[in-house]
Amino acid sequence: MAFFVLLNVLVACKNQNTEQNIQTDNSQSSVKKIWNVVKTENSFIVFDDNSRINTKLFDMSYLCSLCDGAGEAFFVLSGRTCRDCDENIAIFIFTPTDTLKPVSELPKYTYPGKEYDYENSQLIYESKLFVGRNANSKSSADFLIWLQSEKSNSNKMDSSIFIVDVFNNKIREQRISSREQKYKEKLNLLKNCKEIKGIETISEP
Amino acid sequence: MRNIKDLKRHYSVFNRSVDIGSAFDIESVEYAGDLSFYGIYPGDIQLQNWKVISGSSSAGMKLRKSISEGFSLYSYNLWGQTKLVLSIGDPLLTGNDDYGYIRGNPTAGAYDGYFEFVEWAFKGRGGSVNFGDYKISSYELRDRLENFADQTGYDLTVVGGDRCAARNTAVGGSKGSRHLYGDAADIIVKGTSNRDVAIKANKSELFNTTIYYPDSKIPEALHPHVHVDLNPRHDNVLMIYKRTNGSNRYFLWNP
Repeated sequence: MAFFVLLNVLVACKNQNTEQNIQTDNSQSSVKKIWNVVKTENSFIVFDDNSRINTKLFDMSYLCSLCDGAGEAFFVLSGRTCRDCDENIAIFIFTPTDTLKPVSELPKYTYPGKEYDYENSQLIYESKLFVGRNANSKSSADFLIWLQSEKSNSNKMDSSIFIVDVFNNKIREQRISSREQKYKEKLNLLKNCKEIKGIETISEP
Repeated sequence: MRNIKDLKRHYSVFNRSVDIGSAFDIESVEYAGDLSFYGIYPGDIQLQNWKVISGSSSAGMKLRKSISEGFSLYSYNLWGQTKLVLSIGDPLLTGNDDYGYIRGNPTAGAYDGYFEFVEWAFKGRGGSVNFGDYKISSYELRDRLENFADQTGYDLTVVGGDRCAARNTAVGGSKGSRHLYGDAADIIVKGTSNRDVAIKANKSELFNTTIYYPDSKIPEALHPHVHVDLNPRHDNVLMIYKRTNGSNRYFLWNP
């Protein structure tokens, strides 16, 4: 085990931007890295073994990790894909294998808070974002849940909840309109959730 | 200098009789549009490199090889449309293989030439556009950015382009952002104030929207740059992003 840990650190030092699954030739078994986030430095996520991953996001912060128990890490980050631009801060979900992807292809979600139309200052979107643990799941996966309302084409505010979790090592998304019966049932998920404080933004031109 | 790839399509090949020593109007042969649509104006164009792919004259003379000298191109403006004129003159008639030539009797005759224009170039002020890693889907906006650089001599750096929509909202969040449609860009020009760039972008009338983002020194403010887009609901609108009553907002701007 110590060998694997040492090898892991060496790989991290050699190539700090790549996934670090190490396979042995003899056993064909894989040792998955445990991604314990210590801090962020600019666009880098730094782990407890001093390895780091470049997310290529600007104004980046680490919020939490999603996991379905299979070991793969899905980091929930806030940030933007460009620096000197008018892109609002958003939520991104990032895995260690995403270092090869352009940031524009990362799964992107709105940052919680209020968003006003840049031309007429009218409210066009409002949301609260909660991070929770699913008590009904044996894998005790974390999930994100947006409680949101947005201006529709008919100028009415439509409410919905949007849930993101990880299932079978993939991101799973579910949108439930307030008109659906299970909407109220899903609201129970909000118990014991931690809210991420929202911000006020103007829509991007 | 830059190539105009789109124009190559319009002018690539044509076939007509050409009298030696005469000029003929390319526009009348192949192109019936308005070149000013591309931001091309008289004096902006020169023929950089082209060749004759095949051709023969009624006198049995053959056009051969690549010709880089001897043909001249000029443009003039007629009723708002830019006309291109290609002139065939004496320098062709040297019979010198090194420069290309019209073989045969060089003094008279009409040529039925099949001309392929290989490369066109702007004779602008030498500006450039560095798109970096940013994608801008709209070819029209890319062309207009290039034209803006040519007109002003600016070396534009694109610092923001296409964006993907947020997945948790029905309309993708940031409702109506032109960055989602691929026809918006955020730009800066190193060594030039964003104010000047925004004003010139607006005066160029190449963009439907121009927004000036000053350096506001406010932590939560967006970084200074200039936004341009082709929002079809706007007609050469100039705006400024600034802080009022404790929050950042967009206002129409008349500097």
